[in-house]
Amino acid sequence: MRLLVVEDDEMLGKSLVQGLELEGYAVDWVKDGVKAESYLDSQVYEVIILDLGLPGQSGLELLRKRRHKHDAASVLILTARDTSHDKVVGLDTGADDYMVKPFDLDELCARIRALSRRQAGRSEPKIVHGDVELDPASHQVTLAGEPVTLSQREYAVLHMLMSNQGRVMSRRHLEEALYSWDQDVESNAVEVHIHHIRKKLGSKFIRTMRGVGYIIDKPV
Amino acid sequence: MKNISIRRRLIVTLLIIVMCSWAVTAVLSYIDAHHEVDELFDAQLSQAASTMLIITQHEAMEHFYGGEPKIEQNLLHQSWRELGHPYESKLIFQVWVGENELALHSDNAPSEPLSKRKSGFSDIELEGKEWRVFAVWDEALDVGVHIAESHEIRSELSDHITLRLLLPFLFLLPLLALTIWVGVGHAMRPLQNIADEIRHRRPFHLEQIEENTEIPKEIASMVEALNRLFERLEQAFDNERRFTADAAHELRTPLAALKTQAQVALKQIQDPQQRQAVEPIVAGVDRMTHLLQQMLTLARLDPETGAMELAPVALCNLVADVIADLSVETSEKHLNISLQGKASLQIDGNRDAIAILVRNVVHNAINYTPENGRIEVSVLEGSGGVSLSVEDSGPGIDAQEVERIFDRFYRPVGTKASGSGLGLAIVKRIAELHRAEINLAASSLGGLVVTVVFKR
Repeated sequence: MRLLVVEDDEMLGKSLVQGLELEGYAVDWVKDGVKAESYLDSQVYEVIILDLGLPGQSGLELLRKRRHKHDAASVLILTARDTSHDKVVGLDTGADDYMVKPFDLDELCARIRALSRRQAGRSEPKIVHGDVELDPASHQVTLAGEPVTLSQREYAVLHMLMSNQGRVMSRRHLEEALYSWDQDVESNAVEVHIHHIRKKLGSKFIRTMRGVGYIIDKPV
Repeated sequence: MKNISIRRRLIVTLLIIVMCSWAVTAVLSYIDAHHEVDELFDAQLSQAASTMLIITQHEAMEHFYGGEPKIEQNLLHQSWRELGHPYESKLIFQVWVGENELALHSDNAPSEPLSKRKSGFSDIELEGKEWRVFAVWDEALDVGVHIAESHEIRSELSDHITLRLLLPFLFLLPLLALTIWVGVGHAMRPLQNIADEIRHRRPFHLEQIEENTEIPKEIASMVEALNRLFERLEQAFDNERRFTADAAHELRTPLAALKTQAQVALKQIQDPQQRQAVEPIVAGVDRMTHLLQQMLTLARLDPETGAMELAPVALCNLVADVIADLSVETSEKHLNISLQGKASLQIDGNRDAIAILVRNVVHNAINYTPENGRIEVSVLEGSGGVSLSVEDSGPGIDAQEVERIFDRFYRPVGTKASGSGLGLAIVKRIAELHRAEINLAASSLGGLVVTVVFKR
């Protein structure tokens, strides 16, 4: 899953990216409102973590513009402004969640999971397909109740496919979801990850649509 | 120091001026009247003397040509005298024939000539009284008339005239004083109204005073100055609020960065010893966050009160909510906390602010009470109003610390419990804003009892 962090503070931005990458997210980080807009125009992000006091244009302005353009990405405002008036304005402008600095990293991650869950139209925290269960909170994957060890990238690919059951995910889409812009992607990286997942969960679990991408079928 | 009363000063000044001008007028009119009366009476005197001389001349001529002399005292009939006026005693006349013969005279006339044998006016003293004398002499016939008039008549008349002129002033003076008294009172009423309005304002309520036409011109400039002051104060408060918000932002972001960095590190460290080295950073940031929160609460309570909405608050229910919120802390320390009070008791206040006050007082008690201790909270109605009291079985505080305990950042000597030292300062501030009274005393439980009385 790909996240955009819009935060002008160098130290906070850096540690946020680090923390979120540890959770297995592909994270891009921009420091001002104008740059954020161009990133959002050229790339689909599932969740945007947005500071309000930004150089260029304010977070609220950016948010208003995105909602005007029918950008459906979930937006979590992460700001120093703590009055309920600020929260009301933030949420009413179109934010899905609001957190005040300083925050707890685990809480932030849980909220991001909740946002992606809601985006996929689910309410139960675990993603289930047949006897495969994926828990986004603990990054645990079980096959018939037995834990399966996956690398971080493998988990990310599986997460992407399982949360979009019945939908074809193109290779490019998966790559984008896996890697930030500054990371080099080897040409066959996705194939390698799929191969590993198939070895661990069974070869029929992920279907290849030749020339299009990969799909996990909806359970009958 | 006693303040000057404009009303008294105006009355005293005006009355002095009026009385002075009255005195000058009195003196001038007295002199004037006296002079005019003198002139009038002198003219009368000379006319009477001349008339008498003409008659005397006539008689003297007849006598000279052989007639019987007619000028005798018995010419003045007794019956005429009875018809006379008491003022006649203030008039004397003498008709002299030659220098030695007093041919005719009034009853009260002396036997000596009233003046020298010379025509004209003179002043004499007779039997201790002042007299004005006029004499006319016909040298050829050797007859003369002397008429004297008592000065008393004149001064009586001029006194009378002057008095008549000034008498109305005696009635005017009290009337003037009364008019000034009422007038000044009336003029000062808008000032009093403004003073009352400002006195009854809540602290930090900085709304402008309405500048209407009822306010006199002289006071309007003061109202304008006051309004400008209010405006500047409000601006200052606004600046302070903005500064606080900015400062909060500046502090919150680095704190967030620090905490996130520490948490990221914790996620990557498995070694328990290394974890122990990093974990205090997170706790430290949390404590700083708490302090920051308290500072913000305190700062926001200052300027925002102008807009602070007051509404009836069911104090007992609110206290119960706060105690429920703090139940984790109380059960951790195995404290026995109880609440006693009538649910129907209400106070006028800002719900959020009162909740902060109650929370801070109860939290303080929890903080300072050792494990297995007791805390008793009660909400009671007394003669002064509704009172909230929180008693604990903690160590209490020394009498000399009572004064300082409400100071910002003050922490009692030997405190083991953690805290920012702002909790009670916030309590005091909120109490002030609600015109509530805080008392600290020794509790029968052994510790401290904090009582907050919300006056009716």
